[in-house]
Amino acid sequence: MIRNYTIGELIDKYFEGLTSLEEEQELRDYFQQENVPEAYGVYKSIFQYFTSERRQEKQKITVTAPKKMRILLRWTSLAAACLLLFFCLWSFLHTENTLPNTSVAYIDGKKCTDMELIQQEASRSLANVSDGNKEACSAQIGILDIIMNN
Amino acid sequence: MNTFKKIIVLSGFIFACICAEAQHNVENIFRNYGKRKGSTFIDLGKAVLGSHTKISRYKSLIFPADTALVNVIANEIKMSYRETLMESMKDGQFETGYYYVKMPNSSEYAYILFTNKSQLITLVYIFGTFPPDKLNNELNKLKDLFITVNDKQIKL
Repeated sequence: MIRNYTIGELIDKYFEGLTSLEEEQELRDYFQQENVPEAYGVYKSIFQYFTSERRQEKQKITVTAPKKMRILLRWTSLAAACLLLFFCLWSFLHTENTLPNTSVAYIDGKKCTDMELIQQEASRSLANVSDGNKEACSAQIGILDIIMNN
Repeated sequence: MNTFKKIIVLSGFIFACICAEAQHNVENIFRNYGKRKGSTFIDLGKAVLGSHTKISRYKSLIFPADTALVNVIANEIKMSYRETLMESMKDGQFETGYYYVKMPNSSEYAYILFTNKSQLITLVYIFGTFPPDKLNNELNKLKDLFITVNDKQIKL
């Protein structure tokens, strides 16, 4: 501490690398004063330089930290969006349209794997929608005939 | 990334989500009604479809439905599958409809064929790499396939 050491001793201790953080702060505070003896004038400029450097470093840290955070946040949201997109596409492509190995039928809520029955039921469903198509076409032709005849 | 690129990426993402969601809506109909009493649900596998047709997925569902349900399901399909191939109505009710949607950035199409006869709905979901004008050809190939697979004649 300043009280226990003279400034000269503390400076020597400082350049030997034996000062504590507290003592270094005391030195910096000391050399911030206007009235410093001429003998220590050369140290005054050195310590003032260190003090100003420390201030600039602190400012840099406070300015760059939010920028880094913003970049990190941007990349994180981009990665999250990509993951979400990938999941949507994956579920869309794989859940819906992946062909099962074996055919399956549920008739009245009961599972059935009898191929003959499955194909008969598949044929029935195809026939239903085909008949609907034919009927719609016939109806359209009928309407056209009426229009033409009129 | 500038604003224009962001808009493009976001639009693509939203479009893909809408397509996926549309597919899920119809998938939900199959899931909800497929295993009920009175329903017949078919999901054909590789062994049947194989490489004989360009149809890579075939699912069908036949189930009873009242007038209100018919309208709900028809509207659900029309919202999800925006392109209409054919549609007919009888007495103010949807009777038959063929709808499709093209998959984004691919040559694949998803089709839904709907018919409502005597309060019995038939839904057929087809997915494959063929355009709408080839749908009838592929359906005919499928019919032929059913006839020959079991060496048994099935009248359609």
